[in-house]
Amino acid sequence: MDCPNPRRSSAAAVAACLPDDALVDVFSRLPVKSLHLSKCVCKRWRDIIADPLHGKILPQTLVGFFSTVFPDDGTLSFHEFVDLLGTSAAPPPLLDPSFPFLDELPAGIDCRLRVISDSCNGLLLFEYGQEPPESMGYIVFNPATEQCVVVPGIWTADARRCLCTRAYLLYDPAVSSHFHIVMFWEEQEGLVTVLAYSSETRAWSHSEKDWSPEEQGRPTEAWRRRYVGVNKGGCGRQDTEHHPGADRCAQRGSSLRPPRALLWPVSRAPALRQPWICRL
Amino acid sequence: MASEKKVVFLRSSDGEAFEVSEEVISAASVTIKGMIDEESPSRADTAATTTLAIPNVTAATLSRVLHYVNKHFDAAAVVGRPDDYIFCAPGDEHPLARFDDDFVDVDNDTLIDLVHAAEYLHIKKLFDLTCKAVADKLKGRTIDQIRETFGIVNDYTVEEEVEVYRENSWAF
Repeated sequence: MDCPNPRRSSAAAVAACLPDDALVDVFSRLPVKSLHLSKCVCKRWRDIIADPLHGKILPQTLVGFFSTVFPDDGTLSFHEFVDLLGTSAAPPPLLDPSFPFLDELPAGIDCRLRVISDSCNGLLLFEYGQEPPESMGYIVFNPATEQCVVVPGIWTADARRCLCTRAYLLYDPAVSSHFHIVMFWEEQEGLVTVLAYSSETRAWSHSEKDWSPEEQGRPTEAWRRRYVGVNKGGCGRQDTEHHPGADRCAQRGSSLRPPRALLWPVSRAPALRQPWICRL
Repeated sequence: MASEKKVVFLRSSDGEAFEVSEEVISAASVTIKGMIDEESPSRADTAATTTLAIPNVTAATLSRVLHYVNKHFDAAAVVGRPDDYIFCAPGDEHPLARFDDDFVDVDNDTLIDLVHAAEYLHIKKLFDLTCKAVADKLKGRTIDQIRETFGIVNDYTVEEEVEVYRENSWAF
């Protein structure tokens, strides 16, 4: 043990010699404001709190988010990082928001238009391609290993009736090293098809056919209605608040500071932006 | 009788020995269960009792820990001493909540010693309880109050302190 155990007469260095495990446990029970105050107490506390290994246990602060920018002048879409803390001292994003790997994809992949569409437990999901729909697909990127997997989209003869799609990434390294992509495919008025891709079988499946009547009912049915409603409601691309992952982020974020209006950086030409909160 | 409760003795760092039921302490402490399991093959089944050295825990702390262990892990004692135990109707959340609150209502030195002991003896319930108590002492305090309460020396240089305060200023 790193501290002398005989009775200490004063309080000196009492907590300073708590073992790391105990301090992490203590910090994990603190509200996020107290946690950040604790960073200021001493270097050892700051280092323990800042250690990425403890990121899952300790309350998180939403530092910012990635966003896809579609310039009006027709040039290629690109990504940028929006810093929410607004302090120059905020750590830079762990990732290069230009995602250079996107320029090194195999030939034949139309990545002129690529959009971050989801994130899950450290993986990022991009959509690539545009019309014709056959050229669209997904890229799953692991920023830690800088590996990426290209997943061709799935398109049937019905593709022309497809109004829009929305894909979500499912990944839990504690359960499996494989990821799934779930795609909600809105075909026509109110009708949504659900397709799932498994990196284990490397195939898309139209799993809904195998669902029981109960599974076809709630909560999936509610999910679909909400999904369709969001799009009809004119939220269009800005519907991040309806993404389950974003919900979690928003909750985490909202407990940190009073809500405030976000001033979007006006560093670029006017452009449509698709914000996406990424939890890494 | 063969069902006579086996006991072990735990010797604190300052040499005091404490008697505790082997069954109870094994249920509570992963560390001591491991020690007992290691001893078992060489131990005769007869009256010989085992004394285990607990070199990292003082007598004052060990007696507190055993008080906690006997309350939380000795079902027989609980039933046998109803006057010492607040019985709660089924549905009441924590029959020992009051005991736990009083148990950690101690000065910081004692509390930190208990965290150390709980960690060393691997008593998860006690570790959780004491860590929560430490966290409660941190909540709502200013930086200076935290340093004072826990006797922590500020080892930031002036420049570093300005920087770390600025980074986290939104939390003040």
